[in-house]
Amino acid sequence: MTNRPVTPLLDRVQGPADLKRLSDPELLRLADELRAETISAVSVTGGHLGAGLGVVELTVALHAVFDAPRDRLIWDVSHQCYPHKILTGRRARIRSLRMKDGLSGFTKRSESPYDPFGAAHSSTSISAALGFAVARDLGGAPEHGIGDCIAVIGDGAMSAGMAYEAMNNAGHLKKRLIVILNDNEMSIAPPVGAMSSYLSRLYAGEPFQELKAAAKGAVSLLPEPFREGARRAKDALKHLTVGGTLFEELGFSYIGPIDGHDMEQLLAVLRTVKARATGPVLIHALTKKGKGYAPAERARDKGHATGKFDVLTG
Amino acid sequence: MPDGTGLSRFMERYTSRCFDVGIAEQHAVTFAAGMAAGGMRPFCAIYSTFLQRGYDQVVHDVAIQRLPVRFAIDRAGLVGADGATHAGAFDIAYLANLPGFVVMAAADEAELVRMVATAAAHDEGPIAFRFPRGEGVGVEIPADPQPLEIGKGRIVQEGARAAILSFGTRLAQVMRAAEALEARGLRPTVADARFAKPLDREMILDLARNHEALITIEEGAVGGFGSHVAQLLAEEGVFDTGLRYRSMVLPDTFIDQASPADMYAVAGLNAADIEAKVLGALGVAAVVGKRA
Repeated sequence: MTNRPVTPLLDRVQGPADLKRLSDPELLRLADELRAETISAVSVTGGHLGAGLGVVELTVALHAVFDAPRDRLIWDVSHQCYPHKILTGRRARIRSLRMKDGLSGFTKRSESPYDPFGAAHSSTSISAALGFAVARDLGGAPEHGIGDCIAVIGDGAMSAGMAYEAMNNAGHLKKRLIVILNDNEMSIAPPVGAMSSYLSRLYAGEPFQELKAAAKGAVSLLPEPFREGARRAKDALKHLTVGGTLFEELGFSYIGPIDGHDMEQLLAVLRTVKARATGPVLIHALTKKGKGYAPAERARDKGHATGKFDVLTG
Repeated sequence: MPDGTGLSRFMERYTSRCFDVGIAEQHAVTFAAGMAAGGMRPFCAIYSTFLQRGYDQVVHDVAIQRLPVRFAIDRAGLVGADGATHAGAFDIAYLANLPGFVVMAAADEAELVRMVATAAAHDEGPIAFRFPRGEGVGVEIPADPQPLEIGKGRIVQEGARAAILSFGTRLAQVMRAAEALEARGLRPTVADARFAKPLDREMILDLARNHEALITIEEGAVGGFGSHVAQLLAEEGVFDTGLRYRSMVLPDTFIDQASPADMYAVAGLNAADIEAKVLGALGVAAVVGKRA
């Protein structure tokens, strides 16, 4: 494709610091431009399209609220990192993704300080983030310091035991640590198993309503306006076996499920967590793989990795 | 496992710097990698067989990213009563084939202390040192252990005709074999490789040049130290001119439980086996056989 999308806001973004100057409505528009740019780039290079499109809003929100590279943002598997690369100084090279001498299709420490940890196989991000959190508290990386340690992990990756090994240890150590469960009900293929069923039950019926599943345990983390609704939801949920109990029993404050494409909600929750978290927090965000690009949404498993394509026809 | 890994006292003294992650080898490796990426100098203490459970993490999270995680690999070699499932047979092979990994094995407790110091000082990438289950051989432990030069072995005794190149704690058996050989009028050169990776190329090529036979020995399966030495010798053309090379490794079987000494007898890696291997390589085994 030679036609590049029109991206006036994105054109002004050289790095995450530039996001700090944008208003919330502008961040929403920036996400739309970032989505268009991601689709345009992958149409040229091929690659993992659906995963990146599913986290466009999350990527913008994370970089708007947190301060990478001091805050360590760790993408599990990291095939969803194309929008992240576009926002972190690599837009000019984004059409070289996965090509010889081009950008890696995954995060890579040697490529950018915004990639604090490389990945490619799944389920390692919580362990790595916990390692950074411990290093932070022991005075590691003295040159820049280490701020928040954030792992973004998909529901598919949550079926591997290592994620639980890490949560088990994190809940014990009680370090401030942020895990974002990017739940798109889709790994490479539809996920299977009891964990997948469990996550589905967490938002069965009425997803996102009043941030209702933010009710249990995480009430004190939320800003005032959310609290009343959350309390009501908590009462409503009292007799149900849902509400992130598993994560809470592992020592995490559970927040969610929230709409991972609702910029307002994402910003509110991330800002709150940033301001108030003291120990491990798990934010359960629901997203749609391939979001915003009809051909990828329709075939969500096909959208996992794609060859080059025509943007208009898919 | 603070007791099993021998870290209880360290943990008491440095509570904030010792992490018992539970039975979670994959997490342990990547957790250590995260710490290393955050500027720490982590040691990751895991038994050889259990490190197998974290191998993908060793490859991806440590080796590819060249992170300086120090692996303290206990229970390396045959362990005795726990048998085949707990035998640390494969770590030399599965670590030494990874680009950028430094792999050491300690011949005795004094060497082990120096290898700890070496690992602590090595910030350039991953490094591992292996040591067996059980007690040391009783040598004095240096009070102020100095780091080893990376990739440098040591000559333990000078001899002629045959050189025995040991990697790890078989050195004690090698010395017994060397005594027996000397009683027969054949004093072999004995060297302690210290490193399976990087190899001490200069020392090994010297041994090859100045001896008729070269025998390597290690407490590990085929594909480890001896295979790396063979690769070096082959690439350098040493075999073109007729070196007699033998590599003593664990046999291609899983060995059932017994005492470690009995298991090493089954494996054919005790002093008598080493002596026979040297004589065989020099072509005098048949004579010995007839005499016996």
